[in-house]
Amino acid sequence: MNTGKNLKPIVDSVTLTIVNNAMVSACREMGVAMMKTSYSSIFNEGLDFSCVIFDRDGEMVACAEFCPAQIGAILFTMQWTIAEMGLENFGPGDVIMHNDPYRGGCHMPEHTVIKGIYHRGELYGFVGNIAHLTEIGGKAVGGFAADAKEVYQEGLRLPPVKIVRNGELVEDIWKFLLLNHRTPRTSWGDLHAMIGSLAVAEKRLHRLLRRFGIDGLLDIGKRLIAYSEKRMRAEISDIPDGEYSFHDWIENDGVTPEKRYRINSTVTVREDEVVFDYTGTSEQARGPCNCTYGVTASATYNAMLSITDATIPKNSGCYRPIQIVAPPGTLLNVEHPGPSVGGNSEVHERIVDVLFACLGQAVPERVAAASGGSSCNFLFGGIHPDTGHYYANYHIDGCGWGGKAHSDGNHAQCPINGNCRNTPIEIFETRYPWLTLEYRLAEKSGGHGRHRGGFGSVRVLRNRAPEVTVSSFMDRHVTGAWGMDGGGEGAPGRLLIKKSGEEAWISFSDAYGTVSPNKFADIQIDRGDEVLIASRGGGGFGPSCERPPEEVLHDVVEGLTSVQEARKVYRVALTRRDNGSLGVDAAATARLRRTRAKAVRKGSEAGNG
Amino acid sequence: MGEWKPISTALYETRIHRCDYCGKMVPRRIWVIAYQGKPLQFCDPKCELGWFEYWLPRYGSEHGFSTAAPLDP
Amino acid sequence: MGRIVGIDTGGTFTDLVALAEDGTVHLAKEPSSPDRPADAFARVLEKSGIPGTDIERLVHGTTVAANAIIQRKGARLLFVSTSGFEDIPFIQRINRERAYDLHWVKPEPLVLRSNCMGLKERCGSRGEIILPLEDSALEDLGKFIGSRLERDEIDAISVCLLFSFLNPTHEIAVGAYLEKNFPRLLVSLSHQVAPVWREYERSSTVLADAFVKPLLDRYCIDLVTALEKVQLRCPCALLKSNGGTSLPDNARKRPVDLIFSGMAGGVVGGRYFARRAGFQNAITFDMGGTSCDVGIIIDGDQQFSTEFEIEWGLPVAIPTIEVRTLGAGGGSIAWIDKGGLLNVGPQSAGGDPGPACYGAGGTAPTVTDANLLLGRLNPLYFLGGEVPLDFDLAAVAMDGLAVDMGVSRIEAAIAVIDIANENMTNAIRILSIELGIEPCDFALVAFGGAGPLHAAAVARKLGIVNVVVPPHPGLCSAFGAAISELRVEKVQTFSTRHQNVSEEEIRNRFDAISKEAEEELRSEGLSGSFRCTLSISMRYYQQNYEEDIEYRKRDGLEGALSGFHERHRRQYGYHFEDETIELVHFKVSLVEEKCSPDLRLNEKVAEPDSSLSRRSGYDVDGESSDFFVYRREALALASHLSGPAIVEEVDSTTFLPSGFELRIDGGGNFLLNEAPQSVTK
Repeated sequence: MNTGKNLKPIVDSVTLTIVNNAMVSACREMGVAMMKTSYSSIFNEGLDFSCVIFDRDGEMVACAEFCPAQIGAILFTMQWTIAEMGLENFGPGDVIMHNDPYRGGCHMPEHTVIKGIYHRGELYGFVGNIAHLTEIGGKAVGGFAADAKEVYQEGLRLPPVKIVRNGELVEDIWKFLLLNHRTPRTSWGDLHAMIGSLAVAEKRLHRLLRRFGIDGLLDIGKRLIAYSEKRMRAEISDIPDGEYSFHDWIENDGVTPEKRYRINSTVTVREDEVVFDYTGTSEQARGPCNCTYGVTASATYNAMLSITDATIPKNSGCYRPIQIVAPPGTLLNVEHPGPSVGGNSEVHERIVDVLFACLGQAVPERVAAASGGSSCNFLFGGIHPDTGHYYANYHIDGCGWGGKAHSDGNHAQCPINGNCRNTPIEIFETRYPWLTLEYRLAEKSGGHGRHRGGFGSVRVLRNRAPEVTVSSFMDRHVTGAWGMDGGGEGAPGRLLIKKSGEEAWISFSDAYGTVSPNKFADIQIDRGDEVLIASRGGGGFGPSCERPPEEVLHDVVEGLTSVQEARKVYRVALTRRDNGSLGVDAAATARLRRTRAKAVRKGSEAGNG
Repeated sequence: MGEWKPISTALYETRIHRCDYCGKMVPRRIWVIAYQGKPLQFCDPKCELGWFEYWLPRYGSEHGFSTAAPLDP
Repeated sequence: MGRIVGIDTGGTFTDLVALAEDGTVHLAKEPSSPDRPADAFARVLEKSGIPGTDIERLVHGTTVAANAIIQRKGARLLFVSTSGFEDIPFIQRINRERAYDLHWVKPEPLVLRSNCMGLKERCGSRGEIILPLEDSALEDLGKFIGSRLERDEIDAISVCLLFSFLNPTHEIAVGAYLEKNFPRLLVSLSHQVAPVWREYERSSTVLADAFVKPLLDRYCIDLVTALEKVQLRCPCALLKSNGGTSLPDNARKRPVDLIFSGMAGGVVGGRYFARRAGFQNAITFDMGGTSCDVGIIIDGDQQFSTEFEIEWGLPVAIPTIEVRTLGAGGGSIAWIDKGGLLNVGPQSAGGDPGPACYGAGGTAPTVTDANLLLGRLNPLYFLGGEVPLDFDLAAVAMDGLAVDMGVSRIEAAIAVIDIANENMTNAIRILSIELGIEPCDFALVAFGGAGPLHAAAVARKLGIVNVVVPPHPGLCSAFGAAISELRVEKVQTFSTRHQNVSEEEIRNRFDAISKEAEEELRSEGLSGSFRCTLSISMRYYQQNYEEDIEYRKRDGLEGALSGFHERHRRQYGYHFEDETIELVHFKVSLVEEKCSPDLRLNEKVAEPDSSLSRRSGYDVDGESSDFFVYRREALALASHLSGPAIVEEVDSTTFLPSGFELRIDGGGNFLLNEAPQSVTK
């Protein structure tokens, strides 16, 4: 249907909105298709994927990110693939895939697939998605070699190669790839889910191309990109100019004893541009806590998007005024052959916390105190005692998030690099040979403050199988999440084991001699052994003596804090009413708070040790 | 004056080149300039500008040269 | 035989539709009384003038339960879980509603943490008892409850123990203990409310059930009192979220079934009219003042979902008619974002103050204002003239927008309608891909006050060829309530692999569930026959999302399995012939078999194209146009209209853009199609 508007040389804003919505919708439909047909639960419950539309100049026009971890990476893996292959080597019906972390990816399990979109024989652009495959060969099962020392141990690495040519599977590549994965059926299912979803977006784009033509749609795309750039520049202009620095430490890399690694960031805001400079970050580690450029970029964009207007359409335009300086060979830009599998899951969220601490010096009302900042990556596998079949699972837990200027941090939430759901206990125990003894909020783990940090969770598992092989990659067991603006620290996490028949909870280092208590691979535990995973709490925001007394009372009644802590930390006195319930003793509270107010407010940012 | 130099596409050449300013990986061609006799390589002229405006005044020219492999002669 | 009557309590109006045996329809409308909903119910019944003795069947769709939850005005709850898992309502599923939204706050559960207690018991993943429930544990529970009662802190108790869907004996024991020791407290047990796995979803569901239990108890009493005055012959049934009905005594036992009562009526009505118009596959499109509800009819049946949410993060795992609610209605506000792009909704002017043209104080330009300015609404006949619309107020509101956009008033109005239509189109597309269908294979059934205004444009965008506008579109929900059937759905989780279960086991399981379902159906007053559908939700071994596949006794498990392979292949383009299939839920659906009544509309003697008037307005692309304006009741059954035209009626307006044609079928439905010569690609 030709309304006549299509022929206008100047594209009106209504058409921009409509096309943007249609493209974002197409990306979402891609994601829904992937979710429903994939095999790995980290893929379909964890929603660990993102879907994009690019124009033929390699600029992202629209995206639906189901998982923030890849929003930087997918930009670069797509751009790299287009540049390396060359436009002339794409053809209709071709699908290209790669998972090389050094070519823009986040870490090895993330695979990017990309397909050219043609209209009347001419190339318009590309659709693509990036998703996490559970098993990719390599040293450890589940694609997570927590003690890898080089990329060759992490799994099968593919440069950009065609896996579908002209609509037909390129069998040689598939044979080669599936032979090197431990669970080839799962990879087959997941890859088909990814390829199938590209077709969904292709159909939507063909509809738009029929309506606007290639040149028309390219033009609209460029305008959308210019629009987002303009919006992002306006947002950055609202942030006070200046230089803001902060740093934090990754406690160990899993393979090197007694060595920690510094994440350093200096954020320079200059009018409508911002530079994120990671110079001063430690040299890259031997163990897999390194981040690729893709991860560092993703974390940077994640932080920026979290503090700016969420209605800005996400495309290449909103990233133009953001510069990233990440010196190669450091923890945040690993060079070959450094391993990187843990950076995406465990360090991304720590980078974001550091960036919030930097940006919080300029716009505190927009950020949060440090979060628990760990995915509690816990992997296990073995032969199931009931079925005799092999199984493997990548398990994560939520952590407490930092308090903010206007509200408490949420309890037990997936860290900011993802948006996964937890596995229900009833499904977990049906599939895997564990008995869950407890799964509750970690008592008093949120940092105190005018706005509390969120609590972490505690999960206790007892092994029911003759033996299970476990790996772990966690951090933040030594220092807690820092508070902001006078808020208190969140409680650190714990990973402990109680051997069958013993009474005491001990660390895995004490039990098995691992180099690190929270990063290790392939430890075999026995039947009856119990594992405790306590995730970390978030930091508090603002001085605790400014928390409204009624809210402190509510916290005590709800079991989130104690009467003693209310008095000591929050300077709130409680009294028992006639009917037995607790109430605020206003006079005593006023007295307590008056004495506290005389003290100077101190910042309580940890991590500078 | 800078120029674009191609990056080797030989199948056995698997090393990745990095921009000396922002650290990003560069696939097929790289922007090369000479500074005080030494070569510097960048994603594009924009990163060259960034190096002069942001990096040089802050860190000087001794730091920041990437450890990437040299280009083909 | 007397009349069947449906009464639907909406946000603004309470509607009544009465069908007589000869097919004639009687309508009545009264403003709702949200504080005492039973009052509006009684008033509309009185206004209709139908004697109670003349009513054969009365079904009531109510928003009482939904409102209680939305406004958080329900029972004060006590929650009992397995010891060690008291925080399940607080941990939830650990994901966030949106990425990049740092300030999002997790939804608050319906129970206080201080009222959650862990019971010393434990069942395992095969239903085996790991820690038996001892009397001492029940005594501890008693003390906990006692202390709360002493301080008058609770009204109702909800219980959800791990794996109770497999082994309910502990929950049953708790129920018996509470019945004996605290007989006045209302109790909800999770295995009775929703015997499905996923402990958080089940907990959230049983909490919702207990939350509305006391309230619905009282409401049923109010209804009975209201009906006594009318001397009703029959009991008043309530419309359930799955589109079936429930007598008050049953409804009080599991009130969670009524939470989406208000939405179900529309889809049931839409399905009726779709079928009568000859379409087995249809998308129902119910657009009102605040929101737009979209449902899907496949092979003549509405679709069901068990993944409904009260709000994001608070699920209710009961079988509900699959309806998506979009924040797109007549009152949706048009606004310009920081970058200068036009948006429509999701904020709404609602019913109060409402669109600018209502003259009730609203100043923001809305979709209704746009429709009025484009000549598609009659300012003197909106809601039959009860709400006069002020053209000038709409113009002022729209002018503000037009100036910001740098366009004329009419261009702004056209843009507002276009974007609203795009939003609805995109939402329908996402729903269709989730259900694996292609919209262009479906008809669009449009109703609600605003549905017929937008249907043709939305259909065009979706590639839909046939649009149906039922008679009295504004009362479709009440109509749906009237014609709804007795229906019982039962779901039970029993997760197993296809190689590990025998045909006999499957039959036995279905028989047990069917027996329970049939008992419930009979207790609802079923006297005639019913249709039974069995299905198993399945997925390939490592996938996480199930598909419901029908199980037919003559084809057995083999037939169901190949049905699954086939469905997967059709939807996603591939399947795995020799892969293990996991069977997850067993579902039984029993539906009363009855003939839907034949609507009979009065024969018209008016000339086919005797139009009421002409009005100048603007067509879809902004071209100024002269609309023919008709009154629906004046159109004869054989009418054939061409766009651009408007057809008005008391409760709705149909807009026929140029290029469309309208016919009226034997059932009184409007059938809209693109006229043949204007079909282009």
